[in-house]
Amino acid sequence: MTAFAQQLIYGASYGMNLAVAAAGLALIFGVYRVINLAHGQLIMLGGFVAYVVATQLGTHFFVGFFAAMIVMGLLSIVLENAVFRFLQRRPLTDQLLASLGLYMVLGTTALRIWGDFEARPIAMPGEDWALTAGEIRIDGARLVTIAITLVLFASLYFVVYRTHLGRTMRATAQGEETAALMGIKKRRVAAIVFFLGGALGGAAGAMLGALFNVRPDMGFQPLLMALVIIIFGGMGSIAGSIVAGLILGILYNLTVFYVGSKLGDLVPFLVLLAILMIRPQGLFGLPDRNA
Amino acid sequence: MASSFGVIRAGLLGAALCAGLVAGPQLAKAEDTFKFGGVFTLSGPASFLGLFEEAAVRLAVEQFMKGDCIVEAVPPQPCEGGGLKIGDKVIPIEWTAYDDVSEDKKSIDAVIRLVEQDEARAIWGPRMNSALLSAASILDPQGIISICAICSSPAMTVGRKYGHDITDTGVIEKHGMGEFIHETPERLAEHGIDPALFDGRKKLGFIGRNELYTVHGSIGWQEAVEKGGGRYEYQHDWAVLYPFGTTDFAPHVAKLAEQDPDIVLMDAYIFPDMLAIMNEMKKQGLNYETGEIILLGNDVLMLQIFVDVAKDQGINMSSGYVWGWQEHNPAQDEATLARVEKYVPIYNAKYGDTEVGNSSPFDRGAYDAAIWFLYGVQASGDHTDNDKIVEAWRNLKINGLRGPTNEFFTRPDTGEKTGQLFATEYIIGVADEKVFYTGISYRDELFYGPYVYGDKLPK
Amino acid sequence: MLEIDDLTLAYGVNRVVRGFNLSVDQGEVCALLGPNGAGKTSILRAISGLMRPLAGQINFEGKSLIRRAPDRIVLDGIAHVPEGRRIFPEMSVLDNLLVGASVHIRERTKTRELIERNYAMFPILKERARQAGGTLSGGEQQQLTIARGLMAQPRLLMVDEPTLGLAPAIINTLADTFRALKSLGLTIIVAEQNAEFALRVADNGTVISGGEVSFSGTVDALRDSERLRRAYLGA
Repeated sequence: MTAFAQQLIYGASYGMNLAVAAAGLALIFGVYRVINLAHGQLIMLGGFVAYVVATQLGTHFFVGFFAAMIVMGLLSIVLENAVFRFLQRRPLTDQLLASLGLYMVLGTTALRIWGDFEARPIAMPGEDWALTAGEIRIDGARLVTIAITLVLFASLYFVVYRTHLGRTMRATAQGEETAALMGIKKRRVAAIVFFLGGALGGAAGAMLGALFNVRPDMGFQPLLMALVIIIFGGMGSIAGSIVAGLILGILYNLTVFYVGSKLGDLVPFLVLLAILMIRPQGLFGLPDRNA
Repeated sequence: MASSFGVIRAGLLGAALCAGLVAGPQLAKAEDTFKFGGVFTLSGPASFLGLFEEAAVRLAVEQFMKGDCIVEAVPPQPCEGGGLKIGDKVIPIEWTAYDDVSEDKKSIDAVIRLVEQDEARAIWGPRMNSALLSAASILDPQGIISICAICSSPAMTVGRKYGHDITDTGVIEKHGMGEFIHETPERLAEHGIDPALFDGRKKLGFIGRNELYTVHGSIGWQEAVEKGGGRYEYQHDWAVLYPFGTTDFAPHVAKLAEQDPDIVLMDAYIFPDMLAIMNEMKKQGLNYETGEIILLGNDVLMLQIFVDVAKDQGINMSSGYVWGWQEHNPAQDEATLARVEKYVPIYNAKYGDTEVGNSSPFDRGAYDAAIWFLYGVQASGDHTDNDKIVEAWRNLKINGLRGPTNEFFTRPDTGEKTGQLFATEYIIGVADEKVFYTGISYRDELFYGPYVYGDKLPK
Repeated sequence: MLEIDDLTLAYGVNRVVRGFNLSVDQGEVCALLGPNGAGKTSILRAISGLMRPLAGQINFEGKSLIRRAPDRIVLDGIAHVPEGRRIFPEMSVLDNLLVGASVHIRERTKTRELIERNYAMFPILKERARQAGGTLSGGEQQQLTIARGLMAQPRLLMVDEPTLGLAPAIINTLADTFRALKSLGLTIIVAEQNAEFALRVADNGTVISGGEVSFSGTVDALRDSERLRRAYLGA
């Protein structure tokens, strides 16, 4: 029972990190209708920005964290301008191929710079203490990332549902042309959505990097999980991302612990298969969105 | 028939099956150069394992052509420059290398190109385990010699006539650790190690990334336990093998902790993986700083630079409970040191400022292997007959940068020379934040089991 | 107020509107009539900047609208209520209205006044303010799209096919709405297949068939027109 509870906690903390990564992907897909596989590398590069700013320049974790969000947000806008705006009306395969290409370009670039797989740590508040209850422990650093995640989601919720900016994003998601008729600038919404999506990727990268060291291959598993999370949670649904992230993180940990470590990677695919069979529109997705 | 034959040859599998038939006449053709090719990982995530190897082999070929070999064959072979001395002719060496960009498919493409277009007689690499197996199925039937100095895989040699592994393997390494944990208290004490180090320890664990190298490693670990006759408990299916791309190691370490091991062998070789696992172990009660467990690692764990990096992350490896091995003799004799002192400045001048970096024991092993092979070709007296080359090379020894008289392992059952280096494992520890050689080493006792020699690798 | 000269519109090589002319005066309600596919929607899209003309001129209050972005055209004073009742279905009625006010959302008092005015004109929207747009009935959704168009405080309102799929009783209410808007001095272009409705609310009408103007004149002249009938029958 203790072991089970412990795995729930580990899984929930990992799942929250994944949810942040997935929310960026979900936001971009929800509003802009593009699947951005390069998101995995924004997570990785976010980790490196946080490392350079926090560790190499010797500032605080949060300075690196916000730098990662801002730099990845800006990079994401650049990618939208350079690549994604030509893909919006193209078939899914084109989007996947082009964004996979970007994934490789960014990945190879990172390997050119940091490909030695040296250990790149980021000092983080909470890493030297832990909460314990009996034999169950929660590392301080994990608690800090859970807190950050909650703040990020609250902020995201506020922006999307409580500001006019969010209203224009939602309107664009539900009817891009109609939104344009209301005087909403399509390019501006695209820039904002990509900024927020990239910033969330950067945040996820900074947190994962601080918890487990920054490394050039760190974007792959979160990308894989994030893709399943947004399908599971309902494409474009932010609330769905949190719930699906938690479920997937916990399932991953329970599988590793109770079934076998080698099978951990199978979990997202099994979940995906199950969703596609039982509830193709995802947890929070509506069966039929408007055109 | 002829046209369909062409179509089949275009396919990968087809190439493997048919090239044997086509290659026959090519081998018979008299040649005035010796064609030698390689497939290395020069870019992509695994390039740190390929750059130095390619650099060392290229340097070896260049030096052989210049007549400045540094290392010596036993019995001696000439190194007079211009190429291989075969009879009274001098045959130039033609060296071609391809980058596999860390991808299996690209490395097989490169192997096929080397065989079909470049007509290479011997091929260095590929290194990646999965590619290595496919390459073996292409090369061995055609009698093309294959060589690797960092493959660490039984698949290079076991059941293969033309494969050569010029390093230890994951299995041999674990056999080495297995010998160490079965040492008598007297021998430990003799070498300044706490004689009670292993007292009361029974259950063993194993953690590594899910790949062929660690799967073989875990099997070797189980074999070592079996050889010890029941002093320890370990089964291959206990191995915790985490997937590629794992970032959160908590559940994997938890799985290991659940087994409640007394000794854990960590078979990881990427710094961030190792540090994450070691941090998580401390949190989850698998503490090697306090002696809760003994942590055994490999040659990467026992690099001084790793000990330094770990220290920066608050990991203390000097507790006396962390041990590993090196394949490279830390206590070199004077003649070897002299060779190394000559080699290192040449290598560093050529590569030090490039992405290859300065010399380490790893590139020295590759350099030894390359020159050793070229001496072997010479010794055969016929650079156009791979059977003669293999026979001559395997019976030659080398006084290399890694030490004197490196030789190939002889199968005890048939008395034949194999393509496997008769490697020695040197037990290394950490004290006062510095790695040190214990003076304990193993060689003869490590070469047992179907993964070390035999007619075929077990499935 | 709005002058369209020799407008030609095309999707790829397919010309949907050829040499179209239209003049709308301040305070006028102008009906664009014609069967489905005649080019009415394309003309409205060209005016609101969603579609770039192949040739011709569009001037609004003396300013050319050619190559002007849709959001600038909204600011200029033209609101386009698209066909098919394109509300934002997952957003509340209030949010739908606020999106309509995007061009001047920072002027809070103005926005609040516009909302109150809309609630007065369409009381059902006040009742349903917190409900998701998608849960409204067809007639309510049409009211919402018009109200949302009005939120931009336009001087010219363009409504595309307002009666499509609505019950006769609801169409009557809609006609009242148009009359009320006209009495407020708003200039309106209504594109309709439903000639009966168009003739009830409009002052002038232009009939389009096959991308060309086949008749233009007052509603009275239209009412008895042989051409109107022919346009619809495609004869």
